[in-house]
Amino acid sequence: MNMFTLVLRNISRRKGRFIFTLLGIVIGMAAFVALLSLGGGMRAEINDQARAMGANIIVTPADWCTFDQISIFTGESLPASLQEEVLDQVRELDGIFAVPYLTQMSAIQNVPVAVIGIDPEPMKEFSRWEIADGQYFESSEQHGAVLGAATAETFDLGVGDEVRFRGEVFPVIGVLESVGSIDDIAVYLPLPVAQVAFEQEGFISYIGVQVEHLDQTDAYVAAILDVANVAVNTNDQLLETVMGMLGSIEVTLQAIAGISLIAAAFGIINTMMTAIYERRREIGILRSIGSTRADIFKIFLLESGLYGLLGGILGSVVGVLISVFAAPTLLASFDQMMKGASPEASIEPMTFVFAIVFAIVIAVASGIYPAWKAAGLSPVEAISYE
Amino acid sequence: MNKSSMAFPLERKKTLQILKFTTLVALLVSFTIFALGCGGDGDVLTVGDVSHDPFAFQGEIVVSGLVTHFTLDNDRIFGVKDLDEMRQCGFNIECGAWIMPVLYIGTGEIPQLGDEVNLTGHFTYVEDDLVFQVTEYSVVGNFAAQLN
Repeated sequence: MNMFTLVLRNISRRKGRFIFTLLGIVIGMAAFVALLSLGGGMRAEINDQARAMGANIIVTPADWCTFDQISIFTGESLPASLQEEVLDQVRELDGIFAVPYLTQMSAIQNVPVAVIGIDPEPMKEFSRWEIADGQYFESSEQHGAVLGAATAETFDLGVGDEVRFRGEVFPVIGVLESVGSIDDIAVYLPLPVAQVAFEQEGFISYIGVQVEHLDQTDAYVAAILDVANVAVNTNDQLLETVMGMLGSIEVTLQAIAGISLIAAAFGIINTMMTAIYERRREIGILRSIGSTRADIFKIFLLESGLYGLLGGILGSVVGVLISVFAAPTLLASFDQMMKGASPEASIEPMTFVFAIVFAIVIAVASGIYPAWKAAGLSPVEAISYE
Repeated sequence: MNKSSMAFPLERKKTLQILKFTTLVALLVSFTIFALGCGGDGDVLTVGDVSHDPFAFQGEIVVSGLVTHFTLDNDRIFGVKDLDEMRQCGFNIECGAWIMPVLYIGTGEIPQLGDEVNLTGHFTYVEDDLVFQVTEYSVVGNFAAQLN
């Protein structure tokens, strides 16, 4: 009988204990893998949203806090405290293509919806919009609304229908093609029309900027700061802020999953210590027929490692299943925060490998003390144990 | 050997099997309840949702917010701010977030300063002033210690 066969036989000797000890690792690893997969999905979604926005630089009022900056990506309403003159000052700079946004909130069928005032022609070019149905704005004074694709579908609205904001009725003149970003979940009005409706004449929320030479972004940022008292962030900086927030949430959740793994590790220690007491005589016999302390140490360490291997594999599979099938429920809050987002679990092969290796490491580390205790047993005392 | 000592090992095995099965079912049910409960309450609006266009919301709605102000002459009228905005402002009462005026016409006690409340009511004008007229509310938390 070789060592591996011995280990397998020992582990499966008490099936109930084996299953419950294994469950501890499986649950801990499942939680860990599920959180890794879901976190990866959320990061990918935020990245996609930021890229789809099309802006290299965001110009905001100088006094905006982090919440306001993040709200650019999450579709929340934004303060309208940037004077429209700033837009003219920014547009005068060379190599810059700037569009204004006035982001307000209203409701359709009692569901909050973002209403965004835009400069129609530049915005269409900036965001590379296409019209799916109806037509686009013919002028910046046109009293009508263009809907994002998801808005039209959610509320079953189309060309010829009407929407009401701030007591005014706006006919729906067009519906945009889906672009896979928060652009899909908004209603668009020409900026002057939105400013009048929401009593924000002369003000906008922020400015999106595309630059001609991406490698000179810092120079453009400096140029904008020279002409206006504003805050300027590159798209990457804003993304970093959002990812930073997400990161701290992820770390917290993974710490909680880590605690369950620590509990599982103590379960393994407990199981192995119990096994040592039950198998004292067996250990004594093995020592007496020539097994060394190192052999005994290896046997018990292998048993622990096997728990880790099996628990890691099963836990990873369960974790992936949880993240795939439970993602819509578990990420409902993320959907509410990032309106229009539809994150999916991000399953990387390396996640599997990492999870299995991590489980084995924890299990082996848990088994070191019991293995050491087992190897330290005196053969005479062990063999005479009843 | 009497019958009871023969029967005991079988009963014990059956008991263990029932225990294992029950534990597994309990775990499954708990996870299901947990997963369902993590979905968040999609029907509750925030103060930020309603601030720009209150009358876009028709009929009875539920709005969640933080009680930050009371009027001197009528304690049934109080001000509620958006909780997320207050968090970002460091719970500074004077931060620029919009104060939603609330008129409580229910029969219970009024909420306390710092209460996080879910208010059920509708927007209306009372003597030309916009108010959110509330018939009932529930307190879901309290941040009085953080208000400054």
